[in-house]
Amino acid sequence: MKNKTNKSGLWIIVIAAIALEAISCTMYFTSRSAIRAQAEQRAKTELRKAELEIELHTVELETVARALSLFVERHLDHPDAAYSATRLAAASLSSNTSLAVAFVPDYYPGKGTYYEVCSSRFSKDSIYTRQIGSAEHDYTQMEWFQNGFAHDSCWWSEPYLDDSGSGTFVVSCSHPVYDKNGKVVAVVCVDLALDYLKALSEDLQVYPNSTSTIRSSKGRDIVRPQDTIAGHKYNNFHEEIDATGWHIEIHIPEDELFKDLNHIGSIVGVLMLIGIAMLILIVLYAGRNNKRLVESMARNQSMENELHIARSIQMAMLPTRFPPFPDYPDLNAYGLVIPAKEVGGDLFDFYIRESKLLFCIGDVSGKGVPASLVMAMTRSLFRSFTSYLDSPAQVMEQMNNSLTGEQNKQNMFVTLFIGALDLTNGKLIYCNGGHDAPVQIKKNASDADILAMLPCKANLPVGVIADFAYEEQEAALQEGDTLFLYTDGLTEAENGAHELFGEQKIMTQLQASRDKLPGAIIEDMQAAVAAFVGGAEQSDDLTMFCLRYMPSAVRRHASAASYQSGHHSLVMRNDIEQIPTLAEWIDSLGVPADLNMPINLAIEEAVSNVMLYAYPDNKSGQVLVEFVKENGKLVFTISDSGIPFDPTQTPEADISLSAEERAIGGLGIHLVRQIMDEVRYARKDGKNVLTLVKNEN
Amino acid sequence: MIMKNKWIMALVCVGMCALVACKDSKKEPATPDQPQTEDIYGNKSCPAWVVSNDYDYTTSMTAVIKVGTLNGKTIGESDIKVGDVMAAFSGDKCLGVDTLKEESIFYLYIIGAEGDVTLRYYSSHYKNIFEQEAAFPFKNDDSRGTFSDPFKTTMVVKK
Repeated sequence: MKNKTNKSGLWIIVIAAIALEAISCTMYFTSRSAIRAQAEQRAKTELRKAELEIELHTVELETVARALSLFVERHLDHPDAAYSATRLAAASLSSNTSLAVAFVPDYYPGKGTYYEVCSSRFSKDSIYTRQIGSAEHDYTQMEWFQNGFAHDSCWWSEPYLDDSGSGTFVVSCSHPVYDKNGKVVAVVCVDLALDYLKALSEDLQVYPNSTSTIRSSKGRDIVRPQDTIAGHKYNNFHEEIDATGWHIEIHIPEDELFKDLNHIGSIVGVLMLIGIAMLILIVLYAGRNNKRLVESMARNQSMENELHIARSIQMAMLPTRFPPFPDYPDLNAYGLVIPAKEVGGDLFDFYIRESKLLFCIGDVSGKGVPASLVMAMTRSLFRSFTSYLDSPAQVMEQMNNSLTGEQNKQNMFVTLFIGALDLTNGKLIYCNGGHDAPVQIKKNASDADILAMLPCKANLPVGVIADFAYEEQEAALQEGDTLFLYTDGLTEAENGAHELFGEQKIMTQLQASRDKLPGAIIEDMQAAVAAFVGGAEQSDDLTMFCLRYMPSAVRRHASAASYQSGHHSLVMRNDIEQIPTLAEWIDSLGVPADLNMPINLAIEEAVSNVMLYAYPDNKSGQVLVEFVKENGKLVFTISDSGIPFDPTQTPEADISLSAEERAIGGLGIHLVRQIMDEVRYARKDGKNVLTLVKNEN
Repeated sequence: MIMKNKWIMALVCVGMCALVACKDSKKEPATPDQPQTEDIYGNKSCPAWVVSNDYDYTTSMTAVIKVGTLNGKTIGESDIKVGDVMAAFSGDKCLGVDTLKEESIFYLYIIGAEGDVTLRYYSSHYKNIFEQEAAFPFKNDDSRGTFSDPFKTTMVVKK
């Protein structure tokens, strides 16, 4: 069980962890894609802005270069016009830079072989113009001159160090100058300082540590970031500058791009771990609790089993055989204990010693196991002291002294009624220790006097005060008189409206059942109580004991001959352990020897059936078995107050089939039908009545 | 009945024709520039302006010129033709000339002078010579207009 719980918990954790991981991964990668898309959008926007700015600048330079070449072209006849022209061009620009006009060697003989006029603008009002062409500064070897010479439109050079102009790294826009014959005679060159592009690149910072690169159309770096970190992964986004063919590229470090996401991811990861840890703790805690619960259930089950055994032991202490005395077949007595819990504190007992019926009924204070233990002790003391004492008062005193003092630390006490009935003359000596007074049902009395409470003196219950002097009383029972004893579980039986059953209802019920046998009287009383309380829970142990005094019958009937003409009955609780009692009772009926065995078998089968099925859910009940011989027929009647159950409707068992193939049930009633000559069922007055008849011959 | 309808139709047609005629008569009001426009046109041939050899080599200035208005009329690109000539004068002494080749902007290299400089323009479209209303002073190494912001002239027909 523990392993199963742990395994289930492990599976829950694994599934939860996988689900959490899957959700987190999905969210992480979705967010990553979204962030990358957003970064790309942002980078593209910035790149387009930069592209536009560079294009505006380069277009301005190209425009000036074109205009300068036109100017020079129209004034080739004035060698010095180049000075004014470059100066004008420098003044026309919006930023500081250098520009020059370089003529093919020896174009103006008067100006020497190399003639290159350069103007450098330092501010709007500060333009420095000079001739820089010389053998040392052979511009004809320079890329810008050669390419400007070869192309008929603006052309941008690769980056180079402008050692004769600004002294910085520049890229130059070249444009040819044609003479009247369309021959290139000079090249105009306008510089773009890389510092400008560098500053622009630095402004192009989309993220805190992002960098940017500007590359020429040949792939050379015009502006290169200085702080890129080797080994770090970068997300690159680029845009082409149409005017120059350059590429501008933004590099965003992946760490920077996903910094926030990684931070959140770390938090989520930690929370996930905490969540899984908490889940593990919960599962472990639940497992431990489950283990405790299982152990508790096992303990309860064990306790329940023990209580069940205790109940069986307790019930075994009480008289179970009715009618109890084969030698006194008409001394009818019947008793019943219905504990509120598995075990109870009520008791009754009786036996005959020296023609005296010694009986008692008692109620231990409290309920449950403690009460049951005191009940067992009380019953043992009753048997022990009545074995040699005839006086109920003396027995009561002895019992009282035994139950008080050191051995009764729980201060439990017993209300007890002890009686000694002389079966020869009906003299009843009794002593009542705080118990409810029994009811005497007189056979020969007027209607008003049929029921009478036995007068009882106010003795204390047993176990309250040691050495208490109990007083006993006398009464006389006439032939046919019945004595009904009960505990307060009967008077205090409570219904849903918290009303008590009370003495009045007892009297009314006894009045109605007065002519019946003790077993039937108790059965009627039990039914009346059940009807009164309805579905309310039983709050106290309920015990009833009833006896009928029939001395003339004792004398009239010999036990061996009773079978010939008598009516016999046996009342049993719906306890399968009482089946041996049933067998003894059938044996005592004196049925012919050849029929005894099969009848025993049939009746046991039928009674077992009733005990098993008429009272479901362990409900307490009684089974009344009656026997009478009529016209050579042996008639057995089995009655119970359980749920309607007609065994005759049970389908015949197909005994041609093997035990494995045959459906469960039906075999018992099949056996009964085979043995008995007649089987009848009726539902009368809320009772199941099963009649089994066997012809004697 | 049919005859009566024909008469009505004829009357309607006559009325509509009269309305259209009235509307057309309001279409071309007399413009105040019309006399001036007529003055722009001439029948002069392109002058042979040549830079004087008698100049000071040591001083010069430049001018980037775009023709603005001629006799108060704003000149469009279509009015400027290849072959148009712009020249700078100091009195009657020509100091710089530029003949238009492809663009509508004149680049003048004005050689050393003293006093004010007057611009003259020959339009092959109007076959006339125009003169800048206001002269500007000559200033060494200076420039009238730039490549990015040419100087716009306000000229009238030279008398």
